Amino acid sequence: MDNEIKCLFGGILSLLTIASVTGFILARKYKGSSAKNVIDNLNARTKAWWQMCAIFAVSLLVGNAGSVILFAIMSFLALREFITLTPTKKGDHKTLFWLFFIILPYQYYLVYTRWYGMFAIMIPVYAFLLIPVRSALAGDTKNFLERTAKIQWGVMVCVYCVSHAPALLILDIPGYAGENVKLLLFLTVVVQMSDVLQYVFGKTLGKHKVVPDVSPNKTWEGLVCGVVSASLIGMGLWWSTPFSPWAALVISLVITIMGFAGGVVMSAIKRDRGIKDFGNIIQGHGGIMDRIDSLCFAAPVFFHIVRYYYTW
Amino acid sequence: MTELLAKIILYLCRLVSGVQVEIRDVDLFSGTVIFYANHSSHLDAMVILSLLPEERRKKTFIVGSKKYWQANAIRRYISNSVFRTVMIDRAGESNTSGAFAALSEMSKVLEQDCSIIIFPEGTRSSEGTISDFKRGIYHIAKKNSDIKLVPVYLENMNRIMPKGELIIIPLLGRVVFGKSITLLEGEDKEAFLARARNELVDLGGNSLG
Repeated sequence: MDNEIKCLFGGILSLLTIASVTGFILARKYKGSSAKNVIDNLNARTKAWWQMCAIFAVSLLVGNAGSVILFAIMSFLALREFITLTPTKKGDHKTLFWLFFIILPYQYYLVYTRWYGMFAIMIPVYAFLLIPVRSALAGDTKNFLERTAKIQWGVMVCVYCVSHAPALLILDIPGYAGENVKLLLFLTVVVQMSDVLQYVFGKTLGKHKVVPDVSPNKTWEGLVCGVVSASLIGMGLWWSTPFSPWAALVISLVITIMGFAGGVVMSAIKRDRGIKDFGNIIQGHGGIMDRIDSLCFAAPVFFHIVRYYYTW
Repeated sequence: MTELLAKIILYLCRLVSGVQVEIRDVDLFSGTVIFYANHSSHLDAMVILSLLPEERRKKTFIVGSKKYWQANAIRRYISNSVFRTVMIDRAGESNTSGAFAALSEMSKVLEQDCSIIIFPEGTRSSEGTISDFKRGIYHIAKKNSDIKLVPVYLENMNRIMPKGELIIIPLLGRVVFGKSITLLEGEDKEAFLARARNELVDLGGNSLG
């Protein structure tokens, strides 16, 4: 295995160790105080991070197929959470079958077989047209446009957008052949670090809310400090990418801001549906969709930046 | 062998329906009760069974239509050997003898310290709404007035596997076990049916969609 991947994993491992030790010390120090709930949640999150990193590491080490399958499963679970919140009706049942069991696997199959042309248009063109046709054939016209639009939105966000993360593996970057998995790590680390840092800075320094009507947890202090510090981490990781240090900084800025945008949009959906989390599959975090909301928005933009500037 | 099969079927039901469970009454599962639930999918009874503690599950009977459970060899095997069932013969609507036979069988089951799961609407609804209750639940409650009735609200099962569809779409379901009720002294049939139904509807309160 390439040394740079070892360094990246080593870094993640040390961070998690620090987080666990800090959490342990805090839990002992504030035992029985009012801060207990916050600390318990923090420790639950750290524990879930260990598990998520372990799964991520194993699937990356299995190779391209492992990464594709991992993201396909994440898409499946995210779509499940998303469609559950969407008031689909009986007439959509067969459409949903296509969505979960044909379109989703096929999109990831296209990533695996490196067919970029089809990967880029299958959902926006063919799935886009198929979904309303299948629903119309089922004969239920009540709220037809609304139902169709919501299903299409779900498949775009949960499947199309997320699939751009493993699609980084199919890019042909001169002088970087066989190393693309580090781009996937770079994207994931920078976006997720930005989430964590925005949360930490928001909790400690946060005063002014960005959009109080959407998310009470997102503050300007958290946003600016989180985005800047995560972008600096991204810049510091330039050696693992085909980017120069400055390019790494700019790209990190773009994807952390996209990640923030994804979080705000998903919060708006949750607010509209009157729920706090999309699910409860990850202890302390909520659902899969709560964890990858920022990745959904960052992945396609990151993919196309790399594809435009760094491939032939 | 059949026990293993039961476990596998229930595990799969639990997996595809991804249910979140809410329990409003803590000592629900300790004794004999009558679970009554809204009905919108073939998954309903299995999902409820999958949520019961094993000891209790083995002593719980599903009350269902004979026509459905006897339709083919697989269903016959499942209803006779894998799970415990009480079957209602609904052949000929005017003929009430099937209903009486089922009623006395249910009472027998309850006397032997076993619970039952009933669907008082009598049939599956297609859009997840709760129809008016058939009078059966009243007669069961009257005949077994010492036994509590527990409302069980099932959400999204009609979307996971609706009436008339064979394919399961694994969305996330929700199951709420409510506080138990009993037939009040002197309560008439209509009042009891309405009250029992309201208890169930209330559990769905902030239901989505």
